[in-house]
Amino acid sequence: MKKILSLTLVLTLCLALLSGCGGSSAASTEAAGSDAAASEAAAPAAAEPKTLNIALSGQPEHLDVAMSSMDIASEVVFISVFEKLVAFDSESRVIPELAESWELTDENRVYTYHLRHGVKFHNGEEMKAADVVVSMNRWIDAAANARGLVGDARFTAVDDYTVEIRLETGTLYLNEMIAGLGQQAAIMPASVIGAVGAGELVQEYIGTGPYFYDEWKADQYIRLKAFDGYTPYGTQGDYSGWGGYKTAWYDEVYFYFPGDPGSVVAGVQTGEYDMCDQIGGDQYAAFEGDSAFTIFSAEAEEPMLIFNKATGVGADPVVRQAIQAVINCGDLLHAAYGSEDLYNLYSSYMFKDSATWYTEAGSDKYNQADPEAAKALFAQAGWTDSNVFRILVNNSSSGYVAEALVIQEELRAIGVNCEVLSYDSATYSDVRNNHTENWDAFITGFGPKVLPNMNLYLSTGWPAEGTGCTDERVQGDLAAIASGADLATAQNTWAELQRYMYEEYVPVVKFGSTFLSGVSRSDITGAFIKERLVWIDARPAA
Amino acid sequence: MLNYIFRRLLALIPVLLIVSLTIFLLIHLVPGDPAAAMLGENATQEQIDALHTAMGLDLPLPLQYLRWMGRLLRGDLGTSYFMKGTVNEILRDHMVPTLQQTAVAVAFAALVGVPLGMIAAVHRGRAADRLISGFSTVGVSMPSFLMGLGLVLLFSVKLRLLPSSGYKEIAVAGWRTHMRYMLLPGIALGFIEMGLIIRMTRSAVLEILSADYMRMARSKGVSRVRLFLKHALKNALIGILTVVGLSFISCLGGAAVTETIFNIPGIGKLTLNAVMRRDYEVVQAVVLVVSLLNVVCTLILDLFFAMIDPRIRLQ
Repeated sequence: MKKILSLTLVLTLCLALLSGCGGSSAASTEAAGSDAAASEAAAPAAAEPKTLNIALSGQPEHLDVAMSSMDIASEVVFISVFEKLVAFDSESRVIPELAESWELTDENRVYTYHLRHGVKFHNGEEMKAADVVVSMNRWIDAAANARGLVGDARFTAVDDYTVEIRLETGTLYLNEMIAGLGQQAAIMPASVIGAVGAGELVQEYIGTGPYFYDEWKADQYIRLKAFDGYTPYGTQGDYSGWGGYKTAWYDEVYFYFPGDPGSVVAGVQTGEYDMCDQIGGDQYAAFEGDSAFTIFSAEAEEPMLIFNKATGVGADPVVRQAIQAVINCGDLLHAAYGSEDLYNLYSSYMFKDSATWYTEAGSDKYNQADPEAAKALFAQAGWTDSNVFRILVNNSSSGYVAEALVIQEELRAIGVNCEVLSYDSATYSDVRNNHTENWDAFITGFGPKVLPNMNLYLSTGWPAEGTGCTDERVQGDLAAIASGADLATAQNTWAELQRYMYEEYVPVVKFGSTFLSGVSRSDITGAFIKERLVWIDARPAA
Repeated sequence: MLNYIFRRLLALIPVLLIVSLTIFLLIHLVPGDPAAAMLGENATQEQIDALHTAMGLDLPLPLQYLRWMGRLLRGDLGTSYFMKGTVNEILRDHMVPTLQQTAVAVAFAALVGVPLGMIAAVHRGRAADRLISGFSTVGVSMPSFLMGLGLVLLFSVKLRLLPSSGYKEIAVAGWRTHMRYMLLPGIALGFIEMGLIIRMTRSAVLEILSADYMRMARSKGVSRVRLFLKHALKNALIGILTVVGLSFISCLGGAAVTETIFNIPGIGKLTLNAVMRRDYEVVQAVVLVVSLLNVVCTLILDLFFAMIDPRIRLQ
C-alpha cells in the first residue's frame, strides 16, 4: 500500500513537471497530433499551397523597418509587405510606387505627391493622405539621414490623395532618400502608428504590398501570405530593381533562420529551402559549378575603418593619415573573404554602379601599404610607445575581426601598439555608443547609396555625438551637394570633397567593396541581390 | 516520504531566490542594451534613449528587480522585448521541442546503450566486449556538433533519407513527420550518453555477475536466462537508472548545441538568442525554470531509487 502511494506521488510529480513545462498545449498537441495524422491521409484531396522557402542568415529583431535599418528585416518585408511613395528600379532611377506622380516646385523646396486611388492596406482600409503623412513624418523623426536633408520640415495633407512637404532649403534628392534602403519610408495605416507612442515600435505589420504578414513563430519561421486585395502598379511583367509590377507568385512565403551556415548549405542542397540570402566564401564552393543551383551575386558592402574623431588618438588627423598609409587593403580583404572573386579594390567612397557619384579623386592615398610613409606620419603626430590604437569590432562578423587583426599586425610591424577589442553585438553597440573614450576606431560596412549625403559615416552625430564628421568643410560641401540645382557642380564638389577626405581629413579608411552572394535552386528564377536578397519576383522557372 | 518531499520542495525557495538575484544582476550588469539591439547598428543615441524609456529600462535596478519578483509571485514570468507574447507562453512553446528532443536522445541512448552494455558484460574479454567497449569510447569522445554534422552529411545530403534541419510540430505535421525531424538531433544529442550508459551497464552487470548469491543461484541450477534477467539485471538497475536519469538532465543542458545545428526552436536556442540580444526577462525566466527543472528531476530520481531498492531510506 505504502509502495503504491509512493509510486502515485512520484508519478504525480512527474506529470506536474511535464505539464508545467509543456503547459496546456502538451495535451492538446497530442490530441491534435492524431487529428493531423488523420488529415495526413486525407491531404491529397486538398490543393497544396504554392510555397517558397527561404533560409535567412539571421532572425530579425522585429519588422518595423521604418524604425531601424536591419537588413534582415528588410529582406522579409521590404517591397513585399511594405511599400513606399517611390521606389528604385535596377538602375537606381526613381520610379512611382504608392505615389502615381510628383512635382518639385519653388526652387526644389516643395515636393507634392499625388497618391494612387483605391490602394488597400492589408487590414482593408484604403490608403489616404492621412496615413502617408503620419508614416512619412514618423520615418523622418527616426531616420537621421532624412532629418539631415529636410530639417524641421514635415509632410502635410493637401487633400485625401495629395501630400506635400515644404523644405527650407531646396534639394533634388528627397525621392532618392525615400526610395533608398536603410530605414524605410514604409507607408502604414495611421491607426497602427497611432496605437503606439513616439519612438516605440509598431505592434502590427500592415502595409500595402502583394503579401501580408501572417505569422512569426519565434526561432522557427516568419510566414507571409499572398494578399488578395493587392492591385499591381505599372505594366505586367515590368518589374525592375525594387519596384514595378509586382506579382505574388506564391501563396505562402516562409523565412527560416537556420543560424549555422553549414545547416543553410545542407538545407538548400537537400531541398528544405528553395534559396538562401547569403553564403560565405567557405560555402561558395559547395554550389559553384553545380547546375542544380544558381548563385547570384552583387557588390553589396563597403567595409571600412571608422575613426573616433572626438577623443583619443583617432582625433588627430595626422594619426588617421598614418593609419591610412600603412593599410594594405588587398591583404586585408583577402584575409577576410578568402577569394579575389568576392571583393573589388577601388577608392571611390561611392559604389562603382553609382555612375553619378563615382570618382577616383584622392586615389593615390588609397591602398598605400606604405610602412615608411606611415612611420613618418606617426613621428609627425608625436606618437610614443605608450600610445595604443584601439580597434573595436563586432565578433559576430568573422570578416571584420579578420580585418582588424590584419591592421593590428601591420601596425605592430612598424612598432605601433594596437589593441583589438572584439565583443558580442550587444556589448559592441554599448561600448561604441556609450563609451566612446574606450575606442579609437571601429570596423563596419555600408551598402550602396545613391547620394553621398546618405552615407551615415559622414554625418556629425553617428555613432555618438561628436564622434562623426564635425569638420566644417565636410558638412558645408555635403549641404551644397544636397541643395545644388546643378548636377555637374554637385559632382565636382563631391570629387573635391573626397580628395580632401583622402588627403587631409581621413574620416574613414575604405578597404574596398565586397560581394554578397545568395543561392537558389535552378528551377526557380527571378531572385537577385540588390544590396540584399530581392525575392519578390522569384518564381518557378518556365 | 511525504515529509521528505515537502522538505525538499521547501528547500527550493532559497535556492530559487538566490538564482533569481544572481541572474538578474548578471544580465543587467553586463554591457548591452535591448533597445540598441532592436534599433540596429545605425540607430542614433536619441532613438535608443527614447525606446529605452518606453521599455522601462531607465528605472533603478532594485525597482526593476522588485517589479519582476512581484510579477513572479503572481506566476507572471514577464514579457519578451523581441518576441510577441508573454515569457510564460514563449517558455512553454520552446520547452516542448527541447523535451521532445531530449526524450528521443535518452530513449536512443538507453535502448542502444543498455543492451550493448549487457552483451559486453556477458561476453567479457571476448571480441564482442572489445568491439562494444571501443564503440562506447567513440560515443563518449564524439562532440555532439560533430556527430550532428556527420549525420546530416550522411542521412540528409548523401542518402536523402531524413531532413537536414528544422522542426515540425506534432499538431501541425503529425507524428511521422515530427519524428523524421527529431531523429537526427536526438541521436546526435544522445550519442555521448549512449557511450556512458554502455560503460555503466557493463560494469554494473559485471559486478553483480561475480557476486556470491549469483554463484549460489547458478549452483542451484537456475537457468542462464532467468539468472540474468531476474537476478543480475534487476540488481544492476539502480546504477543504470542513475545514469539514464542523469542523462536526461545532461541532454537538457547539451540541447543548445544540437538545437543550433538542427535549427530546433528549443530552450537552448532561446537562451542563446536571448542572451545575445539582452532579452532580460526571457534570460531570467529560462535560468529560473531550468534550475527548478534540475532540482525536481533529481528529486524524482531519488524517489524512484527508494522504490526500486528498499534498502534506501529517504532522510
